[in-house]
Amino acid sequence: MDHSFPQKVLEHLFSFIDSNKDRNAISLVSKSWYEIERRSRKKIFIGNCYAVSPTTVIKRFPELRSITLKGKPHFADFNLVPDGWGGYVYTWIEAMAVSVPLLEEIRLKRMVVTDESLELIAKSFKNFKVLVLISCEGFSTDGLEAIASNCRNLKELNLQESEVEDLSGDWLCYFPDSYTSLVSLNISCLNNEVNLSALEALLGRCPNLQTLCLNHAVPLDKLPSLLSQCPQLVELGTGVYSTEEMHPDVLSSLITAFSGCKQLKSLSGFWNVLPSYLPALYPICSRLTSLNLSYAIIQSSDIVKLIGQCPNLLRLWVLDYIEDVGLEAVAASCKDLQELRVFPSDPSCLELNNALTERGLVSVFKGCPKLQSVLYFCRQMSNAALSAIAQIRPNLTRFRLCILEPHTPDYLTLQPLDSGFGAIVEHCKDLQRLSLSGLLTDRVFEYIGTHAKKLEMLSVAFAGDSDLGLHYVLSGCENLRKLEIRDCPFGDEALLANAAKLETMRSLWMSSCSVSYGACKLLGQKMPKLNVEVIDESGPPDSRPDSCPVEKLYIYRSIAGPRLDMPGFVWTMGDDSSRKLELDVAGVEAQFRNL
Amino acid sequence: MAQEASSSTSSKTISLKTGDGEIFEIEASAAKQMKTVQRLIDDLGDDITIPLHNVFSKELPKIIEYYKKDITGEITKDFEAEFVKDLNDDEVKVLFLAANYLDANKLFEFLSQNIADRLESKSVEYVRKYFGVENDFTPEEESKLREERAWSFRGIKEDE
Repeated sequence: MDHSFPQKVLEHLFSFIDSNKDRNAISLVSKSWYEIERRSRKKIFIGNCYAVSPTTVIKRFPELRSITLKGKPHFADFNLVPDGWGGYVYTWIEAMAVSVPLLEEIRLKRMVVTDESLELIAKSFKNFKVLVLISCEGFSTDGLEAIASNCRNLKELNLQESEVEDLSGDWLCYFPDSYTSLVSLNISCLNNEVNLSALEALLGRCPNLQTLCLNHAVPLDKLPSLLSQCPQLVELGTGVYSTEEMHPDVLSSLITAFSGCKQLKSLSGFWNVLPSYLPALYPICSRLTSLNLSYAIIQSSDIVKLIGQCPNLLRLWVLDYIEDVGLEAVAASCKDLQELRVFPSDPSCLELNNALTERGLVSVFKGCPKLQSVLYFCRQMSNAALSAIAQIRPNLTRFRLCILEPHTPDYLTLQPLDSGFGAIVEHCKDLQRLSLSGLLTDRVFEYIGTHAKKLEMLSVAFAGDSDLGLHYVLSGCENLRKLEIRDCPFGDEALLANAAKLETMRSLWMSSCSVSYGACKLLGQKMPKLNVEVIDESGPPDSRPDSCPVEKLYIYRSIAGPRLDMPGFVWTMGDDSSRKLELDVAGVEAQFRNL
Repeated sequence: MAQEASSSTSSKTISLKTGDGEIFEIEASAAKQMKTVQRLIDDLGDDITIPLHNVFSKELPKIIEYYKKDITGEITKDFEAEFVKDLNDDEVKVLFLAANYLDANKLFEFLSQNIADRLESKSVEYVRKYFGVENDFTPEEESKLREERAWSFRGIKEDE
């Protein structure tokens, strides 16, 4: 029997292969497979928008329907990336508008999106369905007007955590009366009021709506009437969850409205909570799998009452008002919990908070056998607690501990927290993401380099003694993809000695460390496939001696060469000056040919 | 002549002869689900043993088993899981190609999904071996593509 696979059969088979990872694998099988795969690939994920050019992507994948792009480095979330750094999406939109007119989905994270970009999207892609802008900026409600007016087939509009210039709440009115296809709407980041009657009408005519996340400007007494338009909701973000005074009729309408939402599984929002309104949620608590109270200022006793009724919770985000006692309640009630995030209510307060300590964290780990992903802000920690966690929960995959004050030692022994984190990496063999904090020496990096073989992302701040620390990590962590470091005494040696490692990673960020300008230049010259970007707002680094440390350093591999959209405070090290000259000359030549 | 001799379709059976000379019976309504077989029946008549040069005695019974269940409307997720449970990757591949040859759409779709599932997270080398495809990239070409793949299009677990 002929065992070869005809092209049509392969094409059909490939249509069942969806993940980027698997498609990347089949594209390498042979030349003909590469061709078949690239012509049929519909979805692409690009973790660093500067790693590849839009032209390359479009040329290789002409049938794209969905693109995901990430721009600024993660530390931009902590205001460490100056404004104007980059991450502009316009050139991507421009290229796709011409060559991929059937594009349906654009998902962006930490990118600069202008109204111009939104207008271009609105008029170029006739079948546009999904726009997700997470932690983006640069656009206003004018751009949203363009999307609303033109995208007849839009299913998802998600502006999560983006910074939007809120010029008018009437942009919602631009969705025509004939528009009914909305499935997901997240406007929680908007600052001002949206036109509520337009919103209500929109909700009423979109029968497939599953997700609705309102902003804090939506008053609580309007929530019941909004919900009555879409009782089929699966995910709801409330607006403000209080009124100036408690109104029993608001409470009863809320109870009725929530009881009518039989599919509701996920809740968020809860700006300004008035506890007397929390009982409205009790009828639906048993169905909840996700609860985000990270904006809710409520006392732990109220949280405990709520959590006690949510036995099916998989995900809980909450402020430190929950306290240890609240976390014990979580441990007792939420046996299926997979993800916990505890945020600081007042990060600048340096006083020790005796109500939320390492004890709460340990109790959740003890009580919740499926807990895999944790982000925990606190003010005290001990090696004993970390070791206990490591042994109770070896299936941990994401562990981000943020002790608010830098250099905080084990509060019981006053020792560094090296052994505690060492226990974590030793026992939790599948750990993929780790954030360190507290007093840490080079020792902790030795443990990490030795044991954290599956680690893909590491965040480090105010830790280590010398270059040895950085060296342990770069030489030991085989699967490291993203490394971000701030305020550590790491310098030139470890970086230059592990230059080759940097080509196996997506990116490295170092700020307020001790890497010299000279070392950056050397690295840039030695490694032409890396973009070594120096960020320095105090002026051109070559106006100072080569031995001076740079403010910030961002290194990433790229097949697109140095980027051309850098602001005045970013310099790319290496051959860029001659390459830029090449491009300038080519540009001038082209102009002459057009005359 | 075929029409004259036929009794009700439900009790009519068709004879199929595999490439290695064995003969199997299948209900006419099941045969209808395999477009290649149906075309041969249309051309040759339903009293003749239909020759299937590219399908062999190892896999045909399995295919017949599937369509027997199909015509009685008994194909469930459990049945499908059971159907492929004891098949190794090569056996699935052979069945898949046979289903393609026979233009047996339902089985073909089901096996496509099953093969895609079996390929999940497998290496390039594994896929090459499984499909018997030779690597015709030069080392330089392959290295450049691997770089492009890893550098541009690869997610890490928290992203995807």
